[in-house]
Amino acid sequence: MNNLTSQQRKLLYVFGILLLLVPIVYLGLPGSANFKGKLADLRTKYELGEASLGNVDPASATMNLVLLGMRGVAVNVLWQQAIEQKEHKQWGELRSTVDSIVLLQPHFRQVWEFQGWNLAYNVSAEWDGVADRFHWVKEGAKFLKEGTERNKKYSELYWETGRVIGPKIGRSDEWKLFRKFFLHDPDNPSYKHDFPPDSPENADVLPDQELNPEQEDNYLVSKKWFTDANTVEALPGNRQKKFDRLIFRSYPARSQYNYADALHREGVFNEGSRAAWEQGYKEWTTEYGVDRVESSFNGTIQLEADDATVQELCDLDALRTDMTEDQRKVYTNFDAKKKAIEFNQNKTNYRYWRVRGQAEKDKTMEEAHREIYAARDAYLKQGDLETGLKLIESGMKKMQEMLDKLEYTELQLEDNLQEECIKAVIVWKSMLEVKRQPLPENYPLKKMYDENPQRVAEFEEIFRNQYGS
Amino acid sequence: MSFDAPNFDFLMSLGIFALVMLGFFVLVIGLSMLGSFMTYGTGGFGVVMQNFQRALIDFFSISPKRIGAIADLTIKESIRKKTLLVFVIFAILFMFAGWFIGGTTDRPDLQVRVLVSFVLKTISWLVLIVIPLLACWGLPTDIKIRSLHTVITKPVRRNEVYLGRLLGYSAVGTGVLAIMGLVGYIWIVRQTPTAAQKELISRVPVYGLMNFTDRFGREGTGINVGYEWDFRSYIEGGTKSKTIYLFDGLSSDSLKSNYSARKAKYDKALQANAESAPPEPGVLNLEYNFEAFRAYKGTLDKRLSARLILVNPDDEKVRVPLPVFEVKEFSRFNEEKLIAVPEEITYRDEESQQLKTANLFTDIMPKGNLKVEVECLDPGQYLGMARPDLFIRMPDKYFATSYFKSIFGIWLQLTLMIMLAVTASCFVKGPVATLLTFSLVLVGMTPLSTMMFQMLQGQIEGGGPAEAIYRMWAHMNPSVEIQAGAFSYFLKIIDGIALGFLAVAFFIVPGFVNFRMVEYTANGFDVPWMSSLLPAIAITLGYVIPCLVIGYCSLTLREMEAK
Repeated sequence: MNNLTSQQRKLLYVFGILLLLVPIVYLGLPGSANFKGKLADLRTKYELGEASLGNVDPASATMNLVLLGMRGVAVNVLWQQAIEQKEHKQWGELRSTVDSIVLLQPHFRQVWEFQGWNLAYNVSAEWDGVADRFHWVKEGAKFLKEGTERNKKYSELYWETGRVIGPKIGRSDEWKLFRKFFLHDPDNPSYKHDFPPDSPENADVLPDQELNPEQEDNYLVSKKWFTDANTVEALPGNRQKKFDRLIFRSYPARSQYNYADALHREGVFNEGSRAAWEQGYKEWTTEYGVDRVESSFNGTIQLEADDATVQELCDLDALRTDMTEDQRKVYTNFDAKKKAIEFNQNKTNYRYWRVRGQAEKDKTMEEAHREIYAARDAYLKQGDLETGLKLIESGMKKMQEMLDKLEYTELQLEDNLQEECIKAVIVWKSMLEVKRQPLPENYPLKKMYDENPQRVAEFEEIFRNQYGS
Repeated sequence: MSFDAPNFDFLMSLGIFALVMLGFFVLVIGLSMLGSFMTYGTGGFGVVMQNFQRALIDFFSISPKRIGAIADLTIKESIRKKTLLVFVIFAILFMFAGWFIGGTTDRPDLQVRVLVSFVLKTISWLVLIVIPLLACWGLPTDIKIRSLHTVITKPVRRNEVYLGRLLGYSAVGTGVLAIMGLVGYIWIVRQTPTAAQKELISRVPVYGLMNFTDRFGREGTGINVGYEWDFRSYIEGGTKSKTIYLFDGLSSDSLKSNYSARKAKYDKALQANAESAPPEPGVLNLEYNFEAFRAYKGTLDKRLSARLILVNPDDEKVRVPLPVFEVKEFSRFNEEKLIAVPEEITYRDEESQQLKTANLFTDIMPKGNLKVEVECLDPGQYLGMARPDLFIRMPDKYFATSYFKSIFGIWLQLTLMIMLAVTASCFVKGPVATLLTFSLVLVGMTPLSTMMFQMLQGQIEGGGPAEAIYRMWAHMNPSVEIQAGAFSYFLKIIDGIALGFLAVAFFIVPGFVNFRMVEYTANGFDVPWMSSLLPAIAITLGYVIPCLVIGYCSLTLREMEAK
C-alpha cells in the first residue's frame, strides 16, 4: 500500500467511494411504479414515511436534520424551559416553547397529549377572566388539532381534541359561558366584552373559525372528533392505547347524549331537546350497540344483543381460523358469550344509557324536567312562590311517575338525575317553609331523598350558601 | 424577573475596586519578587525593578498608530477567517424564524414579548460565541505559525500587541452587532401585529417600598397561596389585609410635565381615531400587575375587584379611595392596567360617607411622598403582588431606546468576553483559552454564581466539600449535626481553605448577571441606568486594567518560540 503513488491512492479512494455508493443508491432509491428502492419499499409497507404519518411540516423536518442526533437533548432543555415558564406565568413564551418541542418531536404522541391538556386545563385555570380561560382552552384544542394533522394515525389525539371541545367546555365550572363563547368567540375583534355572549350586541360575532367553522354546539363538534377517533382507531393494525376499546368507542353517542343533557341544563325543553335525546338513543342502540368488537377473552361481541344475536355471534366465531382449540370452545359457547356481553354492558354502563335515552325521549319526562326547571326559576329568580310551588309539585310527581315505571328503575342510581331530584325536593321544602305549610308524610321523590342523606346534606349546604336558609 | 433590581452603589463599588486593585498589584509585585529571588538570588530585586521600569516605559509610550495597525490586521484576519459567515446563520434564522414563532398564539400582546426576546437572545448567542472564540485562537495561532515572532522583532510593544488584538476583535464584534441589531429592530417592527404595535414601548417606572398588613390590620407579611414561585405574596379579600406601597421624592413638576406629555399624545390620538385612542391620562398614572387567586369559584363572570386608597403619609387622616376596578391580570394590553388619577379627586369619605374633593399635590402628597394602599374586595379570594407590581408610570420612551440599550448591554458583554479571551490567549493555547473564557462566562451567567454566593454566605446546608464528602460516606443528611470534636474541627479547617479559594474564584468571575437587559426590553420597560446599565459599564471597565496587566506580563514573560 505504501508503495502506491499519490495518484494511485486517490484513484483507490474514488473506487472505494463508488463501491460504497452502490448499496447506498440501491437501498435509497425512491419509490416508483417500476422499480422501488428497498428502503422506500419498507417505508411504504410499514407506513413509516413522514408523509404517511401525517402532514409534513418543512420546519420540523429541517430542524430534525440540522440537529442531527441532538434533538433529544434539545427537547429536554425545551421541556425544562416550558415547566419554568409555566411556573413563572410566562404564557406567550410557554406556547412558543411547546411549539418548538413538537417541531422537534412531531410524532411523539404523549408530547401532544400532555401539552394540549396542559394548555387547556392547567394554563387556562391560571387566568381569572372567563374569556381569558376560554382562550387557553381553545389554544389546547388547536394544539391537539394540529397534532391530529401531523399524526393522522393516532386516534388518541382525535379523542383528546374531542375531550377538550366536549367535556372541558361543556362540564367546567364556567360551562355556561364557555358554551356560549364557543358560538360567539370573545377573541373575535368585533366581540363586545361589556355585553354577554348571547346578547343581541354579540349575536353576529362568529365562533373561532379554526375550531367551529359551522357554528355548531360544542358537543356536536366533539362528537365529530370522537367519530373520527373511532374511524382512525378501526384502521387495520391501528389500536388506541388510551383505555378499554368499548369505552373508547362509546364517545360519539355519549357526546350526543351530553348535547341533549346540556340543552336541559340550559333550560331548553322543546321538540329540539327531545329530538336530541331521541338521536342519542338511536346512536347508542343502533350504532354503538351493534358495533362488533373483539373482547379480551370471549371473541366477537356486541352490546345490543338478544339471544338470537348471541347465537349468531357464536356461529360467526365458529367460522374463524385464527384461534386455538381452547379459545374456540369459549368463543362458541352461548352462555360464556352472553356472560361476556353482560360484563361489557356493565363496564360501559350500557343498559343505563339505553334506559336513560328511552326515558328522556318520553314527553312526560321532558315535562317533568321543564316544570322543575321553571319552578326553580319562578321561585328563586322571580320570587313567584305560588307558580313555583305549583310547577315543582307537578314536576316532582311526573318525575316519580317515570321512576316508578319498571323499565326505568335503573335511572334512580344516576348521579345527574339524583342531583336534579334532590335539589327539586330541597327547593320544594324551602317553598313550604316560606308558606308555613307542614311537610307531608309522603311526597314524590321521597324515597330517593331519604336514601341519599350525604348528597342531601351537600346540596342543602350549597342551597343555603346561595340563597340563605 | 424583577424589574426593580436595587440601584448600583457606585462609590462603594469603586472603593472595593480600589482595594482589590491594590491587592492585585501587591500580589503581582510580590510574586515577581519571589520568582526573581528564586531565579537570580539577591540580584532579583534589580531584575524586577528593571522590568517594572520597562513596563512603565511601554505603557507611557504607547503608539496609537501601531495599535491601529495591529487592530487593522486583526480585522482583516477575522474577515479572512470567514467570521462574517455568522451573518449567513443570522439570515437563515431570521428568514425562517416566522415558521417557529409567528402565530404561536392569537394574542398579539404575548407575541411582542416572544419576538423581542427571540431577536435579542439570538443576536447575543451568535455574537457572544463567534467573536470570543475567534479571540481565543488569534494569539496562540500567531505564536504557532510564528507570525508574532516576526511582529515582536519590530518596534512593537507587547501591550500594543494586546491592545491591538483587543481593539481589532472589538471592532469586528461591534460591526457585526450593529448590523444584526439594526436588522433585528426592523424585523421586530415588521413582525409585530398591527394590534400590538402600541405595545412596542419603553415604560419608565418609579417603584416604591412595599409592606403588608394582615387580616386584622396589623403589620404582617403577605400570604403564600402555595405556588412554588414565591415572587408574589397575597392579601386576603374582604379583610383588613392590605399591601402598602410607599413612594417618596415625587416631584409635582415632573408629574405635571408627564401629564402634559401624555395629554398631548392622547389628544393627538383622539383626533386621529377616537375608537383606538388610549385611555385618558391622569396627572398620576399608576400601573399594576396584580395576580388573582381564587380560593373558591365565586362569581365566575366577574374578575376579582380591588381598590387603591391614596394616603398622605405625613397626615394619615387624608385617605382618598379611588374607584373600585376589576383586576385584569396578565392583561392583553398594558393600558388596561393603567389607573389614571386626576389632580382634583372627588371621592366618598370612608367615615362620614360624604362626597369630598382632594387635591393630589396639596392634600395627598404635599411633601412629595405618597402612600398607596391596595385592598382586595372579594371575601375569601386573594390578590397577589410583589414590589414591582405597582409603579408610577412616567412618560414612555421610544421602543428603540430600550432596544438599543439592550444591544449596548450585549456589546458590553461582548467586549468583556473578548477581553477575557485575548488575555487568556496570552498565556495559554487556543483550546485552553476557549475553555477558560467560556467557563468564566458560564459560571458568571448561570445560577452557579448564585450557588457559590450562597455557599460563601453559609446558606447552603451540609458544609463545604470535606464535610459533604464525609456526610455522603457516613450516610448523614445535612440536618444531622456532626459531633463536635477534633474531627469536625479538622473538617472545618479543610472547608475553610476550600471556601477561601471559592471566594477568590467568585470575585474573579465577572458578574454577567448584571448584563441581562433583554427582559426589560421584552416586557416593555426602559433599561434603567442605575440598576442595570451603570453596573454593566462599571464591570466592563473594571476588568480593563487587570486584563491588560496580565496580558502584558504574559506576553513579556512568555517564550515566543514555544509552540
